[in-house]
Formats: sequence, C-alpha cells, structure tokens
Amino acid sequence: MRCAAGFGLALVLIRPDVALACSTCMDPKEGNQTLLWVTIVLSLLPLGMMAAIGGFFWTRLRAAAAAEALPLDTP
Amino acid sequence: MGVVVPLPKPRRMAPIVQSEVFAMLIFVFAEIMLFAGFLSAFELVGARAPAGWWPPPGDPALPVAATGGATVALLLSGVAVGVSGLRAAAGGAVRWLGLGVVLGAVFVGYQAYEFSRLVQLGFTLQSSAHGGFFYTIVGAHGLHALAGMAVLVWAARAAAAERLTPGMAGAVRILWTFVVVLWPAIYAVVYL
Repeated sequence: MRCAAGFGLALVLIRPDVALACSTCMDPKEGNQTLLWVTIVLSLLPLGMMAAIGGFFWTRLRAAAAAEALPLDTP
Repeated sequence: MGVVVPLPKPRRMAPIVQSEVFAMLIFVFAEIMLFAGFLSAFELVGARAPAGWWPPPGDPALPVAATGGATVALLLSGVAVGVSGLRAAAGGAVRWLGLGVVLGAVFVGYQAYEFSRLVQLGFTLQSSAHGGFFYTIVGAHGLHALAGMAVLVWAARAAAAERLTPGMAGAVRILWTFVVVLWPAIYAVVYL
C-alpha cells in the first residue's frame, strides 16, 4: 500500500499532467475563456459582498453618528 | 464624610442594524455563494462539451417562454413584498404580503408542473449531466422559494396580529428579495 502511494506520488511529481483529474480543469490552449471568467467571478463575489455590507454599515454608522450629534431640541 | 457624586450614565448608541436583518444578510451571502458555485459548474461543463453537444441533443427543449411568464409572476411578487414594507405603517402590509405569497405560489406551482412534464419526456436527474444540473439548480431555487413563501405566510399572520417587528419584517423582505433576484440569473444561465 505504501509502495503504491509512493509510486503514485513520484508519478505526480515527475509527470503532473497525468493527475489532471478535475472534470472542470481546462487546457488554456483550448482558447476557452469560461474558466477565466468563472474564476474571476467566484473570486470577486465574496469580496464584493463584504464590501457591500461594509459600505452599508459605514453609511448607517455615519447616519447614526450624525443623528446623535444633533442638539436635543432639533425637530 | 465625602460627597457621593453620581456618574452620568454612559450613553449607549442605538444599534445601526437590527440583529434579524444582519443574520439574514449573512445567510443570504452564504446562499449566493452556493448558487454561484452551481451556476459556475454548469457553465464550465457546458463550455467543455463539444460544439452542438450542450445541452445534449437527446434532451427535450426547456420551456423558455412559459418559464418567462412564471418569471414575471415571481418578479411581481417581489414588488408586492417590497411594497408591503412601504405600507407597513399604514397597516396595508398583510394584503401586499398575501399578494406576494399568491404570486410566489404561481411560480412554484408552474415549476412543479414543468418538472412533471419534463420527467414524462424522459428528462430526469440521471438522464444526463444537463438533467442533473437542471434539477439541482432549479430544484434548489424552488426549495428556497417554498421556504420563503412559508416565511411570508408567517410574516403576514404576525403582521395581522400586530406582532411583526421591523427587524423581522426587514429580514423577511431580504430573504424574498434574494429568491426573486436570483431567479433571473438562473433563468439566463440555465434556460437561455
């Protein structure tokens, strides 16, 4: 078992192309841009959502701080 | 004997967002990533298929026009639920929430009918990768729509009994807005 695992590891290190097991992996030479766009979208989506919620909190915080700063007799 | 001077009570700022709304936002963000993963996988598998083989030639054509009609019903339900928030102060929220539930039921009911028709045509979860993706993505959205409708019914009942807090109402609207806004993206990727 250990021998087989060692052989497999050696094979992957020597010929990494044989380990191309992911069904969605693509050859960049195919000229297909889908993987690139999907990678960009999936990378930016969580960052965009965090930025959106950060902006939302920032806006609410500023509005709340402005309301607190008003004198009490302000209608 | 010293004089005891009471300290002024520390001022506590009102919360900038209700806890229910914040919790729902976190839930919705996680769900957005789930569906982004689904749609990305669908796009990647479609892009890898040889020209003319996606969707597979043996699969029946998806009912684009009829589903477009159901999409309109779902979008209108989103408008109704949005208006319920504006009319909450005037006491008209229950009617608008009810309208949102009815329109949502039209959408989900149509989807159930569409699923049954497609299964009769031999398009199943296991008939092809396209079928697997179709039922997983559209079915997952349908389950979210069903859960959203249950929450809308609960919210309408709570509003009728004047027990619906602004935080809960906001959370309900966020959930339904997510269900409504997500669907056109699914429709564009899976049907068109």
